[in-house]
Amino acid sequence: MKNYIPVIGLEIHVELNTKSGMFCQCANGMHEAEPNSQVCPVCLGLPGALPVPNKKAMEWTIKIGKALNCIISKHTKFDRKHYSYPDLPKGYQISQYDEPIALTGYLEFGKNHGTYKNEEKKFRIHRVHLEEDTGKLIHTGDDTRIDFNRSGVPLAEIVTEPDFSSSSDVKMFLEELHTIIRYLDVSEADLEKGTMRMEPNISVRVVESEKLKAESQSTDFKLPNYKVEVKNINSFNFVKRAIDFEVARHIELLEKGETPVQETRGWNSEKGITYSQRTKEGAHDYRYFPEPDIPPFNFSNEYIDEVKKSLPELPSTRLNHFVNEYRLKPIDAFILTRDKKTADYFESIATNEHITNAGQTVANVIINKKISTSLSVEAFITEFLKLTKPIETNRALLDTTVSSILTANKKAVTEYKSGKVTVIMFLVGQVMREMKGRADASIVRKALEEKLQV
Amino acid sequence: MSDTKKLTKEEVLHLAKLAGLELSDSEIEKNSEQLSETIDFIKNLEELDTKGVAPTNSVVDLSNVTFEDGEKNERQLSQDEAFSNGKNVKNNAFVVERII
Amino acid sequence: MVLGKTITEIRNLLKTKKISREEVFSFFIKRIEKYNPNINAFLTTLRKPESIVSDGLLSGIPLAVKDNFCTKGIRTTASAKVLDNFIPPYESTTTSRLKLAGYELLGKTNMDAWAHGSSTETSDYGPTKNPWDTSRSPGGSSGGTAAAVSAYLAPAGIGSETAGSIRQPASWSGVVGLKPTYGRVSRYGVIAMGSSLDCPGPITRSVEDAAIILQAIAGKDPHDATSASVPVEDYVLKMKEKKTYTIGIAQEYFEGLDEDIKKSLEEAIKIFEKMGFKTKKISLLSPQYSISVYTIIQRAEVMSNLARYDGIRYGNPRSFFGSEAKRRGMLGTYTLSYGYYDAFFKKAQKVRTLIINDFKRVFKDVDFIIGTPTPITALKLGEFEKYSFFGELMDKFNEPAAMSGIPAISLPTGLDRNDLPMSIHLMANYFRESDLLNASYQFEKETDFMGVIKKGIANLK
Repeated sequence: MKNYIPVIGLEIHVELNTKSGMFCQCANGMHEAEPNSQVCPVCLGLPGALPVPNKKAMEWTIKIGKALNCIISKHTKFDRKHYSYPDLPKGYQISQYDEPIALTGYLEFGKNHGTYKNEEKKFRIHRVHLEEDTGKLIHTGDDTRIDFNRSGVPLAEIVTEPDFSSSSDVKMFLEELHTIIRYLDVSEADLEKGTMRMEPNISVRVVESEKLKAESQSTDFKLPNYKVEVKNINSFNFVKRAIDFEVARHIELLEKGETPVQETRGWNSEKGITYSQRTKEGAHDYRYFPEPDIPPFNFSNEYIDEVKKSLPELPSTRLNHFVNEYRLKPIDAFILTRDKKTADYFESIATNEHITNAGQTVANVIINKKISTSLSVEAFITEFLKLTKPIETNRALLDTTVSSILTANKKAVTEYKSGKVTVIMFLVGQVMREMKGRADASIVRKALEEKLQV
Repeated sequence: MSDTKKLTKEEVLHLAKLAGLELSDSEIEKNSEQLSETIDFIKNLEELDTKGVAPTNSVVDLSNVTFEDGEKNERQLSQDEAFSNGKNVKNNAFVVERII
Repeated sequence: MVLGKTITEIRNLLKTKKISREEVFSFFIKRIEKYNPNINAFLTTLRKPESIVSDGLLSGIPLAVKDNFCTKGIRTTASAKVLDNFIPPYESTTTSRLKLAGYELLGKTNMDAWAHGSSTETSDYGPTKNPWDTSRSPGGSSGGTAAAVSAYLAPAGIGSETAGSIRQPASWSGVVGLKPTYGRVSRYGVIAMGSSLDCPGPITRSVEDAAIILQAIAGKDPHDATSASVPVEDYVLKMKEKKTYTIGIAQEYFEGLDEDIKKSLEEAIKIFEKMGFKTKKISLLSPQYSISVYTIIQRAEVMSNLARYDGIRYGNPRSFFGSEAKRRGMLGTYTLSYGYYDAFFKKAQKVRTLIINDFKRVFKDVDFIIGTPTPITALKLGEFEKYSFFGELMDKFNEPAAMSGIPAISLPTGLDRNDLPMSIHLMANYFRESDLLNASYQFEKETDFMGVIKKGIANLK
């Protein structure tokens, strides 16, 4: 009996939101600008123009590499990658081939991670490198229109190993990667705008059913002899659906004894299907060679450490920190750390002198939107203290109510005295009801306990 | 030195396709001869021992050359300048025959 | 009054108000109108002087500029029909600096299309003719500039060298040609041929003129990441200091020379010795290997640098490429393609290291290496066509310097049995242009280049 395990690797492109381009000073991120208005001889690929790298783009790529636990190359360079397409002005893309900025990293997911109970998981990063973006194509009528504003924008490319065997894992990974990128503040990482693009490479391998369990955990297996790249996916949900669709499509073909064609496919979100775009015949002959216009880079250990030090506390570390330090439920810590601003906000409040040991309560209030997080920290705290202020209890009324409740519930009193202490909650409820809620539950409980001792 | 077999028509056409070049029939024939001749000659490098020698990608003794992000863009082109040499420009875009 | 004068001499005439810049400009325009239809040195000429800088190093001086330098608003073709109507919207750094120095752009000169060649015959606009004998080539790829300067259609000009493209046409046309160290002069705005090789440089009628032009254009450029930060010296000042040097003589650079050229090289060595220079026998890697290294690396970079001409943002479609461009593009593709990279391109880059180390070793003991930029004098038009990479074979004495990036200067030394100009060249270690200019200046003073440059104008019919 045959079983199938998906084999998925990911390619993610992140548009860095530096002020200038990758190799020229043209303004980056001008999404509303007129077409072809943010160009210069360099990014328009005019004869005679030359590239000079953007220092910040290099630095931010090192940051991304470090955040993904990669080794940062001490020696790195750019290479020319040749292919012909109207949105590629020079007829080659300046990218990195054999000496990328970062190599061999990983992302780990602990038990605390996520909205469901996870096993500990680890996915390996193959490399992170830096390159330039192409122009934009718009297909209308009989024409294809080209806008070169985006040409030359810095693009960090992250490539994982084919370690994923489930679409849920892929979704979890991409969402975490997205959170990390936002924490680093190196990109808007907006899926709809295309400042973060995700392309899964999907294939399916066949495994004998006896070995299924062991095999599904393994990362050391023979890769299938084909893979399909899927483009045009602009949400995390769509990634999962596209993978599920593809895996099913591959299995169907494999069951028939056919091998899926190695190609690039597009995702059609309306129809929920993938469609063929162009064939990926083996590797393209990109005729890579080292970029002669750009001298190489040597990074000292001191420089790399400096960049490392500038990293903020990363989401997973922050998550664990919240669980340990503020005793939050993992799921709540997870929610709060999805966004650095929210995490910072929570922590400013939780560490405030007016708040003691109330981490979980603060978390609840934020998550359940009981108080708006658009308030300043001080304003929030004021509201919070009001909200959590113990209710003033009228002692006299309390005494009489306690007495009357105890009198009316002799059975409960007997049960309590004979050791069934949990019955106190019933009695607290009765008192609260009688007092129409105008009492602090813990004070009520104490009063009952005192009376019952007698 | 080993004689390079003359490049076949298919090989020449494949190279031309990669390089984005159109060749006439006589150009294909001529190129096939001349390329083979040239390849034969440049194989003389095999005579030299380069074990342990690092390749030179650039003769300049420079490294880590960059520019500061956010520098003033002195070279920005106006749209008119950008389009000034384009043969097919419509609605502020360069236009080609539809691809997809 | 102006005929045959150097930049220095014209500057004096202008300063002493013996002549106006308009008169200087129109003098050259008239000569161009008379002789250029036959010589075909210029593709584009301007009508009047336009500089707004009146007190620069080159104020009032019209110069010929090779047509691979982007000149804003002025047609720039690299002598290729693909760029037939290309008008750059920006200025190259070299011509920007010349502008800052107050120069007048006289016109854009003919070249081998895309600089692919050593005879200016691959130009899509017809060959340039050698003013010494119009049935012959002036050399290439900076043939237009060399012919213009030789025929005095311009007092001086700018060319570019990838492997001999300044020195060889300077030699065949009987004028001075300087190839600076790679990175000494910015490549920004030069239509790229061999990115790791291209060097803009002056072609002139005197050594001092070469020094003046180099002064104006040298220096670090933030737009060219390969441009050197090494400080620019005062070349004219240093040129006139009293110095003697040691010249290395390598047997490898004497092989296959035409008899007359060999004799003139030997005589030049004796002259340097007479001037007090020392000589030393040295040994260098055979130039045969440089031919292969150069062919592989240059053609790969050529293939890559031609990839941007898709006719969309500028230029004509790729079907307009000439056969030489296609030929080079194909070989370049071959040596970079999957499976061949290690055997060819990477191997060539390794041998390049050997060549660089070879020069480093030799320059510990000598200041210059002497030779000739070409084994023969000007060929008849049409002779090049027969060979698949004759250009590279011909340039074998220039290719080692090209591969290593060292500077070199070509100096006329006389006429051969056919009354055609011959030259020697001196190669020096990185950034020693002032020493090259110094030794050359002394040689010029001593020999007046055997009267070659002055005789040149008399040839023009």
